[in-house]
Amino acid sequence: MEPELRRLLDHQEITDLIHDYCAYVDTYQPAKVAALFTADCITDYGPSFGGESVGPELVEKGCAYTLATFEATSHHVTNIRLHFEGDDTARGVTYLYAWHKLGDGKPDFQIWARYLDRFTRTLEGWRFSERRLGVAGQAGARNDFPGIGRRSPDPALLEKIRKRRESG
Amino acid sequence: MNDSTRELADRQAIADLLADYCRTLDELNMDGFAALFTPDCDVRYGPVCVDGVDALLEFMAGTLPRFASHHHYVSNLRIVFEIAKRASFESYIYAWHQYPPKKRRDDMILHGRYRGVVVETPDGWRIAALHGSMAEDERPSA
Repeated sequence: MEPELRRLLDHQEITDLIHDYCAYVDTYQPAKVAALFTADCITDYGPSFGGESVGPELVEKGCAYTLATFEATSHHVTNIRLHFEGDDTARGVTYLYAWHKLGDGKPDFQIWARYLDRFTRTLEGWRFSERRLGVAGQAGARNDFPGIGRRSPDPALLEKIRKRRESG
Repeated sequence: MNDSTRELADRQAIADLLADYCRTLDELNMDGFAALFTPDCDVRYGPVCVDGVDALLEFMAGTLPRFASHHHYVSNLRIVFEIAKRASFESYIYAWHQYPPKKRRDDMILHGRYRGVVVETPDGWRIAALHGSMAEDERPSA
């Protein structure tokens, strides 16, 4: 098989893995979520959700508990960007919009975020070896999340904007 | 590389280009953002016309810092190869913007479309034209 074709097929398989994660999370299937990870996986969804943990058992446990606090969820992924580091490993950045319904009249919890991933090819196919969350913003809650590394605008530019606002 | 593999590789490269557009914009990495465009790019965001990458950077510098945060999502991507090394594209764009807390304004969320042209250069695919429009303008008039 041409190396370029192999790479494209790997890209699609990893994309399918990312989509499967969302599908299993949103249909509340924690065991199937955990099965998408390697035995030595590292996950970190931020300090408000337990911080860093190791192993798929904690992925299953964490999903089972956290997702049970919501009546419904919907995880939308776009802008999937993969970088292969050899034939059997890759890293990726995937944009995420996630909606969570709390019920009981509480406002929906939403995040505008990105997944920072590492992937490993195993005998069962590509799996997550690392998954971390960076959040650009949230609504409906004040959870503690790592940011996305947005740079700071030029202070002179911010001052110009401030003066323009004050002058109406 | 055969023609089919070449086309698949180009489709992925164009999708990667648009993902990089979103990521560099959202990280305020303006050098990285500028590098995604041809120097003479034709960009429109609704009624705003911006000719050339220098003018585009100036427009973004005056717009993005108004917000505390933003995230741009490209999806539903369609690509049509017109001639060698040139393709047109159409995508959905969902753009979320959060104002600084002291502004006390609701988040600004835009649902729209990007339509444009990409060209293959010695440095890879680049955006030659990008026209943004609102979803409200997509439906036929009653």
